[in-house]
Amino acid sequence: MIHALIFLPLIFGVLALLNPSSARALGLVGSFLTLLLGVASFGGFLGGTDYAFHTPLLAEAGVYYAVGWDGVGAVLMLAVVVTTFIALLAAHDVPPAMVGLALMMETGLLGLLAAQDLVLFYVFFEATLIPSLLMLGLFGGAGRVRALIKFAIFTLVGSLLMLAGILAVRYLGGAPSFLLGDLLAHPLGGSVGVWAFVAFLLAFMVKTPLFPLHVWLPDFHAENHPSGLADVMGTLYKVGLFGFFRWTLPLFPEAFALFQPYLLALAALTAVGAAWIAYAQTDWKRLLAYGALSHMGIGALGLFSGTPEGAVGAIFLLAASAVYTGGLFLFAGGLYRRFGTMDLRPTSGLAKSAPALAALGLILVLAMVGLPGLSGFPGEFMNLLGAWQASPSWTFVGFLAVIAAAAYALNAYQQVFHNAPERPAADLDAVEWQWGTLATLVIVFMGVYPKLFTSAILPAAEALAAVLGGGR
Amino acid sequence: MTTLWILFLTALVTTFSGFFAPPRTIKALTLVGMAATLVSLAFGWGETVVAYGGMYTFDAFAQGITLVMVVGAMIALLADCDYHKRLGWPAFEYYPLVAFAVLGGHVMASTPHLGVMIVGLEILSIPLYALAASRRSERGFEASLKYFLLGAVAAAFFLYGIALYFGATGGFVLGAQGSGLVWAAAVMMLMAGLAFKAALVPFHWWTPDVYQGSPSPVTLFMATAVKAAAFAAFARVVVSVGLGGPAFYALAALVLLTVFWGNLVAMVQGEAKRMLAYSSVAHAGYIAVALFGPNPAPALGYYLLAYALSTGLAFAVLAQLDEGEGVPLRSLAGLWGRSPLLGLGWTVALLSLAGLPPLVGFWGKYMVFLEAARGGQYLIVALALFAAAIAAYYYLRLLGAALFSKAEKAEPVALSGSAPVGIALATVLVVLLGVLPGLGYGLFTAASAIIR
Amino acid sequence: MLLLLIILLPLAGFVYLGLAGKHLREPLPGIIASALTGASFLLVVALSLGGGAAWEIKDWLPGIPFSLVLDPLSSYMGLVVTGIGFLIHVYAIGYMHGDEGFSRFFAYLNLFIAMMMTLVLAGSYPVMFIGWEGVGLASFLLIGFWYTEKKNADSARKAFIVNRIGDLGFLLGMALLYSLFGTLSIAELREALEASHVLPLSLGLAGFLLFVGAVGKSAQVPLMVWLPDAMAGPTPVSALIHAATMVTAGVYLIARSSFLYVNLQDVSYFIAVIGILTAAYGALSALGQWDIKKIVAYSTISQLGYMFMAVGVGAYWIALFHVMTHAFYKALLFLASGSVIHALGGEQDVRKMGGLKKYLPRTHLHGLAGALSLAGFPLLAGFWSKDAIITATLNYPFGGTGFYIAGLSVAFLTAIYAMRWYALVFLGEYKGDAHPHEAPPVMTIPNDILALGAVFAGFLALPKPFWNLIEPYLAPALAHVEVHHMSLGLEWGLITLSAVVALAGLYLGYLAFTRWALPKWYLTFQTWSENAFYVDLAYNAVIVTPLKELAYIWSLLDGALDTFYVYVAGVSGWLGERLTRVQTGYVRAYGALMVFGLVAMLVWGVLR
Repeated sequence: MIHALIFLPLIFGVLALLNPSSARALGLVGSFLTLLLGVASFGGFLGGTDYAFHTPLLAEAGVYYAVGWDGVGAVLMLAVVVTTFIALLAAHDVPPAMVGLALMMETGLLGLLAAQDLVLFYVFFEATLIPSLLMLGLFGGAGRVRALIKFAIFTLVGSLLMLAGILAVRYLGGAPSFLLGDLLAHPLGGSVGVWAFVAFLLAFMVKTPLFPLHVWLPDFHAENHPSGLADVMGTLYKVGLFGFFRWTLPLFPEAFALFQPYLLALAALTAVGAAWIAYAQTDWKRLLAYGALSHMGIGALGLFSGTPEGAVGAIFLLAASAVYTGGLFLFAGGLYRRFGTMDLRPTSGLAKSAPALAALGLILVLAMVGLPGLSGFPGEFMNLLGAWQASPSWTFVGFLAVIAAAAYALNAYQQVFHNAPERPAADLDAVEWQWGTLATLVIVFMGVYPKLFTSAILPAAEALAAVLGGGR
Repeated sequence: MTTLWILFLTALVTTFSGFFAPPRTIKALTLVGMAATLVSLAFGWGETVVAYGGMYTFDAFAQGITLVMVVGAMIALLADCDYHKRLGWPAFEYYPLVAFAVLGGHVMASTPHLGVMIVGLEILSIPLYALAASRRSERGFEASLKYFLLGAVAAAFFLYGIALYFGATGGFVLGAQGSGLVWAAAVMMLMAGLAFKAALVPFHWWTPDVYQGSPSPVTLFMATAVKAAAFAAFARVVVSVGLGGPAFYALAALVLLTVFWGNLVAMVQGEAKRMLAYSSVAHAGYIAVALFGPNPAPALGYYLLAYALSTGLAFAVLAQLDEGEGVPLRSLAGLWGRSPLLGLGWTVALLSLAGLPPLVGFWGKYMVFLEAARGGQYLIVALALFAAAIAAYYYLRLLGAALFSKAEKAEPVALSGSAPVGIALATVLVVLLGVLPGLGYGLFTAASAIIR
Repeated sequence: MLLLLIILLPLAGFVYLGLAGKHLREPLPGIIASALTGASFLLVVALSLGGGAAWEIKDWLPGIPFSLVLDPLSSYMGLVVTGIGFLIHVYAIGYMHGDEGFSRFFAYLNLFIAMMMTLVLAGSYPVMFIGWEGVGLASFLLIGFWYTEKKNADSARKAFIVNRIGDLGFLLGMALLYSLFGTLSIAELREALEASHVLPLSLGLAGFLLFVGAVGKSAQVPLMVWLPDAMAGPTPVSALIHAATMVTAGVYLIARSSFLYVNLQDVSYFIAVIGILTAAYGALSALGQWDIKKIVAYSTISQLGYMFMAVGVGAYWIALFHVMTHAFYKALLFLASGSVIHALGGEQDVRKMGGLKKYLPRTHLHGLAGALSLAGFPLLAGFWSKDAIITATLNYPFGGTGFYIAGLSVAFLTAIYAMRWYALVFLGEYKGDAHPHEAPPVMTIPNDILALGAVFAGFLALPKPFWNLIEPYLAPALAHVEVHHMSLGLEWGLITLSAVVALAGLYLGYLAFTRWALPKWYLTFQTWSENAFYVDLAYNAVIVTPLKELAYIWSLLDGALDTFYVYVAGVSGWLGERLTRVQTGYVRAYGALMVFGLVAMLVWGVLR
């Protein structure tokens, strides 16, 4: 079932590329079937089914096609399948090829979450870049090529250096293969370990992203197709925190301990700085890009604390933010459909003419602000509990973002929906009702009953914290 | 022996049948010869054939190289282009020249004897000089002449190297070890002479001018088959003299200069063939990275295959667009709309050249760097990978020029003759060997440790 | 599960009215919402009589249960919230009559009740925080209820953001407590704290951080600036959220955490100081206001200050006693103000009122009862609770004479501005041009009930030797505090003194604001007071504007970082340009370069 889950979207993606006229139907069916498979797998995982599978891919080089679900992968897998389905449901007026590319990305994402072999992970991690680049390049705005090159170069500089790190980890560490278990059994310490860690660090800092390697992100979102589909997939592709969780931290506990104080500082600065900058944005997508960046800073703060609480928080935040940040990008796409602009300023007082739209927007914005009871809060809170144990002062700095988030999010929201009404707007259409309801249900469920996910993440988080020495 | 004979006969038969048969038949004959070579390779795969008192040693490594050359030649032969056809190019000579070049490369790859090696080198080179000029345009002549003159300089280096090698070891067969000044000078000169053909900086100067000035299918052939042959010899020399001492530093300097120079200069080119020429220089650097490993042959051969497929595909696409003046980036615009097959092939080829998984180019890079990592050369690995990130810039520019900008002219590209077959085949192979890397790499594993 | 229902009923009302309210005809949404709140009230009563309840989901978050507890403290607070909430719901059916957002209003009110009850019933801090932010959201929605006016929308946002500053304190406080004790369940924390002999040094910081949360929510100095602006919401909202219930959540938080603060003398002292400062600031600012609601709003800030002084000195039950009496009279004052505004067709300026006693006899009585209770007129509810606070500064552990004197002085001011409010609105001649008309029964009847509370609620807890029902009821849920003994004579002497002060204040206010016999310096004071001592202005100039500007500066710097990378990348382009010039196209050059290359190799490799 795990292979079906990973490769089903790819099959539908190729079909969608071959049949542009029925791309939407194929996209919906494909992502829905994947969603069903994903939910079933998650259920199976909770029920104790072991999905682990491995077979040599390039036996001479110790590379395996090894996949399986642990709690972290399963939770994020669920976020991917749910969010992709929501996005494909919402983005009903995109060029057909985008649907195909989005589905191909889904396969890449599921694969990198499931991968238990470092090289396989790398393959999926990089392969996902291709449809992402194509989506931006083919369907982006006027500045797309510049944005694309920036995005690609940042990603590739990081990940190609990581490739050097990957090779070093195995051969200097003496592991017989690139399988996670083998690598963990042969940790790489010393100064070589530090260099390899730095290589991994750069790759995942780009993909988290963290200050100062985040500059590709705002342009990436601002230039992508206004429907938001590409932004959603791009949001899902920000798997840096997962990369840290699954690979970087457990492989280099020693080097991590050396860097921890600086990483906490970077995370905190990312969190507060990005939220602050978001306040100055007047473009929905740039605002959301910085907002999401700030959240990743919070997540990183938790993860880098090296505590189980923080690790749970980071992964939960990653999963939750996929849904609400993704939802907000789709929402901004809806506004673009109505007004032909991503600018916040010309719209005003929409709550009058489109109350349901306003309500949906409010739910998404509040989730982003981290209102308790919605999905943004549990992750943020666990990050807080974890981060404090590692560094109260950086926690304080980082969590100033909580205040700034309220400022930028509500400022933007009120700009558009409150104040004196100017141009009226159509309220939610049928498609928006569908995806909006689905997104709301997910957001509320994750906020009200986080236990389902946190309890799945916890064992892995505790194992990580044990490797890192607890953080205290 | 069969392989040698088949290649030899192919060259002879095509040469003489050219007097009475039309070029189409000769093309078919050449292809048949190449296919027959493949068959004979398949039957003798992994079995070392030694003949002529060891001067012809057709080992697994040479088999791999021959395979790559044949694949490159086949893509080149299949990549007909409409424009050239209208001008009456290629004339029948094209086919026998290609066949002779493959034969020369095969000989060059299959011998530990330096004298035989230079014979092979010349059998390879002389047809190439002719091929470069085969369009009979001024640029073609210029390219050909440059190639010839510089080739002569390099051949001189190589010959001096052989002489010094004899002085230092008392023989012509690779595998002997010498010492002292003469030995060191011999090693340096042999490396320099072969670095020319392999296009390693600073012996690469001919590459951009010749690649740009030659007809695109010829460029394709040079970038694939010739590179493979050159590396076969280069690898044999480097491995047999060993990387202790001066050879190590020379190789490291060549590799790093090559990857950075090639990639940096490629960034600022405005014409696709020239860009790919510099890319070919850079790739020569990556291939040489494998030589730092304890067992470089499989990785090196595999990279050559991956590179031949990818760059062969890229040049095959360019061949369809080249109207004699090269392919300026802007004329690539709207490629996907003008011909989906070319668009797909171009995309796949460039992403593979950029080294993105799951395409075969990634696995080539991966195995090469893995090899160097086994040899403990992490600094070289990291620097070369950093250069690869720079390279992504111009591959994306090339990709972007074709995909992400509006077409000036929207009329479809006319694909003629066997070109669609060649392009489709190469595309499928690049993807298939990327998804199942073991399939391609498995061909080269037999080459371990019998490279001398 | 019944316990959960207390929250779920109004929450269901919110969801239902939010989704389907548009299609319901007035006053159905109001009736549904009121009924659900009333049902919650009855549930609280029933469960309290049943001796409390508890409910939890284990490991809601790792190590943190989702727990609800109905103990004496939460049932006491729950009764105030749902009881007064119910009355205000009913009142609002009349007040919001004809508003196009009628059903939306009740949806929000129900959301508020649900969240407030979550806050109250919480058995662990994170759960309390859910309610804490939830009521903040409801407050945001209701302040900005008439969102088409920019001023209202801005006020709503201001309230939310200022509250968030406090919330950050709350969050960090929780983080610290968690790192110290590994739990955030209030009961477990209490056990851990009472069992430990040596208290962690950073406990004081935890107490302080939680208090920062309370400062935000309860509009204490220096985060009081949002509350006056919050009057932009409909008046029932001001009564319910910004007077009777939500703003007292801070007091509730401290009282809930009394087991913590009872160990923290310094922090408690600090709380009391903030409390009395706030009380003074509120009272002084209330004196100069001309907006009928703003007078009451600043009075609320002042009264909340009293409550914090009470919890600061350790008199937790007295603070809660004042929460209850204050809920009655302040809700009453707001609703009476609402009736006045309603009667005058939206007029809020007290200078255009006066003489309304004649036109609005029923409302006049409500206003009088509320004002006198606020002023501490002897025997009314406000008198007993406020006097209890002032006296407590002398005999509770963290008190002091300074607090006593300050508290008494503020009580004097309180009486003056209460009388000013009453006199300007109801006494003298009508100065406006509307046609005042009395409110419908749906509005007056809730006020009648509140008025009864404002007058008589104080008799629930009288000083010795009379009965005191509240202190023993709350005792199990609060920390035990050693109270200095005070003789009956002294106690009653002090009571008499505060009665005299209140009466004197009322008389002075009457004189001043019916005859306008005011000294010259008062005019200067009037201007300062009217502008609430320019705190808003100062905050904007010193904090808000610079922060906003910095956002733009950071934004530019981020762009500069981007440019930096572009230049770094440009270096490779530049290098490429340079290197490509070496490729001249001349064979002689190529040949020479090759020879140079070879020579370099030879020199280095051979002659080294």
